[in-house]
Amino acid sequence: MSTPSPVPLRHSMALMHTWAGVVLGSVLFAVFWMGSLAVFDREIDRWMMPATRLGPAPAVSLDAAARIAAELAPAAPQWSVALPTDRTPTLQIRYPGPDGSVLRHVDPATSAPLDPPGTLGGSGFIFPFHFSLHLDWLDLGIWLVGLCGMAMLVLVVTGVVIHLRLFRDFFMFRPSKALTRSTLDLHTAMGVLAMPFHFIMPLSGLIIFFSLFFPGTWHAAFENDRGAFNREVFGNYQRPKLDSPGTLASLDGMVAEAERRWSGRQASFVRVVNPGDAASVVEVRRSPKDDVSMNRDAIFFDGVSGAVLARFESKPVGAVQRYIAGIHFVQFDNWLLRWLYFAGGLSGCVMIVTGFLFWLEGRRAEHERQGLRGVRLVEVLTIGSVTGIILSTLAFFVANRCLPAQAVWLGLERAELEMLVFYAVWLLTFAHAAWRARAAWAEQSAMIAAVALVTAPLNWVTTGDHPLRAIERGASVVAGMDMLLWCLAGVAFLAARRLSRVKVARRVHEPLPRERNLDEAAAAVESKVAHG
Amino acid sequence: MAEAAFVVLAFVASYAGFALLALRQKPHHAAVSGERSRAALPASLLTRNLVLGCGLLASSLGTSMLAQGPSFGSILWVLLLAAGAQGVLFTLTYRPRWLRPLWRAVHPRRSSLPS
Repeated sequence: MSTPSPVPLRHSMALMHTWAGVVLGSVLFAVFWMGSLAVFDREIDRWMMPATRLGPAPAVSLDAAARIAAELAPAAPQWSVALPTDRTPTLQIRYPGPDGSVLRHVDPATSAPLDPPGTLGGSGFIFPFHFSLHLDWLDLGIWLVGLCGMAMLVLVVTGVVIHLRLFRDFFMFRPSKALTRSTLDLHTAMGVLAMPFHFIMPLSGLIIFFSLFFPGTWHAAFENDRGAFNREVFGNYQRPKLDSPGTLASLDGMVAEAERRWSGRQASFVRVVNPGDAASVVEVRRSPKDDVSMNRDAIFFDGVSGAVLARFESKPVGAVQRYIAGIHFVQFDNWLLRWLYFAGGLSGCVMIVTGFLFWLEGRRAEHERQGLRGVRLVEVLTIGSVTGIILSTLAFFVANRCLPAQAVWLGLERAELEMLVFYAVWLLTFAHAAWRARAAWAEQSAMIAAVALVTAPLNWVTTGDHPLRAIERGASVVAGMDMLLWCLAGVAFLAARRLSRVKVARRVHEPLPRERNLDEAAAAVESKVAHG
Repeated sequence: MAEAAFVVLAFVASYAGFALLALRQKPHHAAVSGERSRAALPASLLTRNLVLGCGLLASSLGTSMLAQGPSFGSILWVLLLAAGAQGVLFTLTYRPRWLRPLWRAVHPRRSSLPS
């Protein structure tokens, strides 16, 4: 028996929207920001790892790569080679080391291993931050991001329900109106106009981690048999080693055979399990660069005879999951879509910030009157998680260019020191926000402008690759990153200038509507707009 | 080259489609045309802009697919819709007069309008 709800639907949706947004907005911004950057993670890698700024890779011999891998990791139970791509011009050899997986870049032209880059770069720091926040304990970060993904879906739906005049305000942005009005305009415009993107991204993100977030699905289907699940869905293939020596047959031959069976579509990755054993297995995986789908196509060869042992292609449900994952991962070669994803991600960032600003400005006067601390607290969190994370990302780049190659401090390696700088600066931005309150917006924007301005020249000073030279030597992505840093500096400068003006203009304190009752608030704003 | 041309066409269709939809709304219509009449916009115009606008948005899907095939093209379309809509948003905010040629192209001369 259902009783009529005492709270109207839109009001309850507004409560949901507000609370989910305020509580999770900080993490959501971090995920959106890092996700936007992760779209260009390989390009950030080139900027942060100058030794890997090589021209387009020549034809590569995997047998030569196998010799290098055997030298680098003679006792490893397995190693893998990722072939050079347009975005990563090196051979990347990975093997298990004493402290986790080791990644070495190899120059494909000379077959010489490059010095360890001393950084995790975009693909090692920024990309994992996007989905795990680097909180690895109990997968806490992944679960938190999953919660945010779910919340994002809820926020989109509740946002549509509470939007008073979805179509009438479709193209409304009135920057000259009161701060609450203009931020709400921008918040809804970014949310509504890019809604498909803002809905598909969290949804596909959740689907990528389905086996973690929704374990019931595969537990039920595979009766808790992880091995069977991995074989059926991920195409795992294993066989025990024989403990008698065997010589690895030609990897180039196996790759050629795999590509023939894939009707000429290219391989991108080779893994050798139990190299040197008579029962070694060579796994050749197909490149994701030509399709939307992040395929799991693999062919397994007997390492000694080179005979095909097994071939895997996703079954229908798995193939759908791979397609959806592919939409999220953007591993295909498509620069236009890459840029549009970047823009979509940034518009999500704008949406989150303006949502926060609307919440803050709608309550500021009321909270001051009642002596509540909520606005102050949320403001500190917002500043730290918006301008703060941008600033600390820049600090991460600066540390990358300034730390000496062999830097070790407090037992931390260079790559860890870069991360330390990131987190230390991030913490400082929260402290600064707590100290300076509202003024911190303008001050941190000014700092972003200043740091972003010098970050690009730091690249030139430390590597000699000013934009023209970078383009000339085939590393135009490095020049692109320099340019984007300058764009950021410009935008941050304009924001800082505008923000410092707002402070002056707002001396005349007008009471602002509270958003708790959205209908009332909107009516108040609306009448203000209508009457002057 | 053909791909780039189709992409540009798809974006223009998305932008123009949203612009026509925006021109169905009085405040935007006034800002673009400079006409400050209090009368409601004629129903025939509203219908025409709706049909033309939606048609353009739909044709943008076709052009996107011509540019990059059905798989990439459909993703491209979703993103170009967002780009076109946001483009219209900022044009209307900062440079509404830029849409005047479009307004002229789809709006019949005043004299031929039923009063």
